Amino acid sequence: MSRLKFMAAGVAGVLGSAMLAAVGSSPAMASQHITLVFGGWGTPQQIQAYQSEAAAFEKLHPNVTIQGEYLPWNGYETKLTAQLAAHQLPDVMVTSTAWFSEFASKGAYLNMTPYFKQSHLSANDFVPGGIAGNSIHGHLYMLPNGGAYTIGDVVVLYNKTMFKKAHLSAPPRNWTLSDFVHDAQKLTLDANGKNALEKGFNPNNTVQWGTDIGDSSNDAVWDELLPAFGGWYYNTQETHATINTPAFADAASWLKDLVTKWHASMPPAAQTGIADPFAAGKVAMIYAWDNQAQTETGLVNFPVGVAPLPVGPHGRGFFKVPNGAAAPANGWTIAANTKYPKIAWEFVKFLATSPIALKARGINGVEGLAYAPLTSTWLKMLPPKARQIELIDHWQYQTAPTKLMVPPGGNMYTEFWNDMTAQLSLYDLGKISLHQTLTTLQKDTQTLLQQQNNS
Amino acid sequence: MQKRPRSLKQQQARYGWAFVSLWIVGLVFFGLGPIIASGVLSFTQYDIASPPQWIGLANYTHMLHSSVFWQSLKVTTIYTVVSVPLGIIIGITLAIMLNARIRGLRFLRTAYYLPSVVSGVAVAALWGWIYNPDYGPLNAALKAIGITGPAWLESTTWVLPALIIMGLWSVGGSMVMYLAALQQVPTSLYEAAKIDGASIVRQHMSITFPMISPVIFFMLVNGIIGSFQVFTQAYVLTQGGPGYSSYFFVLYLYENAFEYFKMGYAAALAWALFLAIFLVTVLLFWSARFWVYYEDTSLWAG
Repeated sequence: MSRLKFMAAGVAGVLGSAMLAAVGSSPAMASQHITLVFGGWGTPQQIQAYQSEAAAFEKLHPNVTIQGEYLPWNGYETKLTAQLAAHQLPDVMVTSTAWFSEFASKGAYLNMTPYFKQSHLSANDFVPGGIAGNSIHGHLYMLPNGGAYTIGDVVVLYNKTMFKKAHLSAPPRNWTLSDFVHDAQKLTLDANGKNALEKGFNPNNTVQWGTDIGDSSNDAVWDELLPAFGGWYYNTQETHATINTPAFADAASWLKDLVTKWHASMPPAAQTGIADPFAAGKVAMIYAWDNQAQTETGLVNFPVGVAPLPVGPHGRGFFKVPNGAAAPANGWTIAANTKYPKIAWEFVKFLATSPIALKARGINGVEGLAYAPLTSTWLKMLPPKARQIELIDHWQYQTAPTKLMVPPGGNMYTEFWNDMTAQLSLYDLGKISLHQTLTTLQKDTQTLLQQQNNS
Repeated sequence: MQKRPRSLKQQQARYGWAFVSLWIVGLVFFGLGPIIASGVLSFTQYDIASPPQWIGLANYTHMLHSSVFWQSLKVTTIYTVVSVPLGIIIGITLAIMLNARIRGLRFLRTAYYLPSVVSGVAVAALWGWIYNPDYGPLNAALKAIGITGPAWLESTTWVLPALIIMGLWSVGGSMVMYLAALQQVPTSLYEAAKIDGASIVRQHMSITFPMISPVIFFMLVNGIIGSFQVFTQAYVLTQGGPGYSSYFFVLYLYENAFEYFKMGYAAALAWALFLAIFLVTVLLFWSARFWVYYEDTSLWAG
């Protein structure tokens, strides 16, 4: 080792020790009274869950008051952005994958790595990719609060009763998209009880559908379907849109055929006024994220089965994001300029890993389970029907990713999906051709990529 | 040195300035300031969280090359061209009917006016229910006479007509204006016309419309400005869909500003909207000399 390197290593060691010492000797846990602002979005039930976990933390730390700033989903990101501009972000925030990378790149979040190391938590205890994926250049900025679709935990949920009535066996592990279509057609029934494979079936008087994934606005379906057809939205460098390609065209045609040719998917217009067609017993199979799996099984009054995604011409639709390119799960972050980093970390750690917090917020307030040591607590909390899902949950279906792909994220996400939904719905309604759809989307996405890369 | 006493005019001027000073502060900080700022921001790339970056005319050139921009302009123009004249025709018709001496006049006037005081979001929610293809009363009524109603808000064909019909819900507001104008028309003019043998239609064409034309002009200008700024119904009911069929200009502006955080581009859109409204208003004022009748003709004197 050269003298220069030796000195550099020495300086780094001293600085690292000082940093850890500073973390340890922070006055945050001292007796002074501390008010932490906790921001989050959610339904009234989720907000109630936030309040319960905040109260549980206050009970453990009498010198801390958690001041909630809770909003519905709509408007939450706008408020956070304004707060970021004004350097007034909440101390601790519930954070979505939709804006995590964008905010992190602007220095909004505290680097939790020193705190994480000192707490002796293990990355292996978190949902796969949960810690690495929430880190940028080795710095951890978010603790995950659930699994999310970006690490490939979308599964097919199916209504076992409908399968039994249709004399269909449970989907095997290696079932294909063709098998999926066949089963969906057999599960689609008209008012006379004829299925979509039978002669005399009336598609204009359908009372039950095989699935509902033909609705082009479902980003989870697209994220999984595109790799199965060998395509993606853009190249891995994110410089060129790859929408006007045969793979994308095949995926779009397949989805449309599911509705208009095979009559096996509930059309979007028929979904008006039905919040959850699967729970309402209108459709037999859905693509679902792991958290939805548990929610659904809690809602429905029929047995639910879980199957892996069907295999397409280019394999199964799993994909994986490179570390830091996009967060694999929603989670909790700490504002970079918080006055109380130590206690804020304690609160985040409590939210992510404490059974007390998990019990306090209940099953309505979480997106799934991100911390393995809480599994037994989690299972006890779930209703019996949901437990069967958890036992064969997404961690089982977590396989090696076939491709390295980044879903649209940050500010680009909303604009991209709004445009995708609008253009594809015009195609679905027969107002524009597939060629027009793909050409327009290609051009729009290319413009978005350029804007993103220039910013 | 002795101070010269202030004149009454000076004193009044001081009081005047004192009284309007608060308004001036408001204008500068909350009106003029943001207007100028938005003008400057329209030449920048600005996402709120980072400092604005000067990009020259890029926002304006992007706007002109964006198919979504032209689509939103097209939707807004169609809405304006259909809904504003329709609103004027129905408003005047109702006002003429309610200007007659019939039983229950006060109740009818109140009943027609009342919907216009309901807030936009509540109206949108109500019409969302009316248009529901499964349980909405509109399709139920159509079914009763043997017609299968469309999925109004999910159809690219029907969504814009549906929003135009919904816009007529608040026609009672303009009706009151026309009613007030009608009551200013001297009855002697009608009496003279009757003696000359003029029919009802002729009376309205030659007396009513010219006499209330200043109010029609006022409502036309306001109607066009208002319809260029339509937002609530599309935001609440359709989110611009299906497939941009109801994607109004202000919804496009809003999404760019508050969903995509493209504040610079949104500011450029706002200025484009201002320019469009300004040009149409200038055109209307120019056309007014040909069809708006003022008893004081000096208004158009050059």
